[in-house]
Amino acid sequence: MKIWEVFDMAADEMYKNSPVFIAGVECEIESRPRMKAGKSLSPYFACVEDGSLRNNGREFISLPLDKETLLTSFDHLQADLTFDNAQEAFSPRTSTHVHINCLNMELEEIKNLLLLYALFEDFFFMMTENRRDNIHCVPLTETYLPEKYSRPIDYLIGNWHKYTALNLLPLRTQGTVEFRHLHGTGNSQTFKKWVDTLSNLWELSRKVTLTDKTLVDEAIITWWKFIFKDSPEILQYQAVVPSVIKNSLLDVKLAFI
Amino acid sequence: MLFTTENWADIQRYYESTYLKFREGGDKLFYIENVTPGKVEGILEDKIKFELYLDDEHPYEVDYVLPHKSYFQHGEYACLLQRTPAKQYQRGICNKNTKIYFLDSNGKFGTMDLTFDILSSYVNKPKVSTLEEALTCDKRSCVLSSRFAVTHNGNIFLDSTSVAAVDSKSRTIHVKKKLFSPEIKELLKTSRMNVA
Repeated sequence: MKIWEVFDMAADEMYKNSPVFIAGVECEIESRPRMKAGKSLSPYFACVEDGSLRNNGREFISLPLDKETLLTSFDHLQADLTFDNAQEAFSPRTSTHVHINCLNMELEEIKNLLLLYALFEDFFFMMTENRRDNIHCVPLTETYLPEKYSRPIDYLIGNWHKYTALNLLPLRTQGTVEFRHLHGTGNSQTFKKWVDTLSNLWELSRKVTLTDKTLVDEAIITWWKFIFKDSPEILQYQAVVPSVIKNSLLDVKLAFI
Repeated sequence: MLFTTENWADIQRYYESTYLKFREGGDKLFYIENVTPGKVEGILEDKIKFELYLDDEHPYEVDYVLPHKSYFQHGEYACLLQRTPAKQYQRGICNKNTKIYFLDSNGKFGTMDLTFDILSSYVNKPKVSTLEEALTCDKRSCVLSSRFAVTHNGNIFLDSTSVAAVDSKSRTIHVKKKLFSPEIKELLKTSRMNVA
């Protein structure tokens, strides 16, 4: 069953049956972000208040968009914003959350996505700045959750927690999985690499099935190369992948007992 | 984070009623009891109360990240520390963001409140035991590695999942969850017991 069927969601057909990657972004920005003179906010974005931010911070939330439109509209948003102090706009309090559309995914594919993410969680954190110790983005491997991986995915979704780096809770309300890792940023290249990587993860989750039989060294390296193929700074770590994922591999194996 | 007068409200929000370390204090743990605009009051590991006056010219700096999940030995118990995701603002260690469980000799887990004694055991993390040491000592459970522990009667746990059992008579370790055979063999490679 697909996610929209499992949770009986009346979403747009475009999202329920889309064969392509669709995602939305929540950009937290401080220092009174506002449009430059003569510029207006794109219809793809809404600007809302966020009580967790300082200095008249705002959150810019996009619609669910295909990858190219999302990247282009992110670039335009950042180019058209001005701040009281640009140096303070992306303080450590800010973050960039990306929701990926999963309405069109089978439950089994969501489980694949979770386990592939869990296996390479350390590398996802390596793509971001100082987020591993953020209390609102807790790595799965640091929690009790890996010992729940063997439960059915619909049980996991119902018993998840928002402040984990990979948040499954929105699957029930929006049909999305939220990635909370990325620091606040207006950098197009950083955002593109992150979205490309999530897109790769989404694509791979629909192609492969993780089981105790498929979880072998050769496959693990192949999956890792596929997910991080757009991030040369991560690919340079290929020689140390087995040691980096040592703990995560234990976590994922717990799914198959 | 710098402890300055300008930051006092943030210090209160993030660190009151939590354990932390200051950069200037090395591995010494502090418990923050009360934060006011001019000073921070708390307790040191040795139960001595302290007052720290906020100084903008020479501020103290908190140099502490939340601990990683790990087993550690605390007295006669192997204890497992895990982080708890929660809607809260504390950045120091507290019961809302960190949980510690002890492993009893019967394989049951119980929860422990955070104290200086327990956190000091975690911070200092004494050496792990070999399997033979664990089975012959008088502790209820012993740490084998950051993820594995064993009870006195030979029940081997990965986190809180039982994955293997020791048969002392036949000097054999029976792996219940075969997926973990490589890790258990690696973990017990210095043991004289057979892994089955």
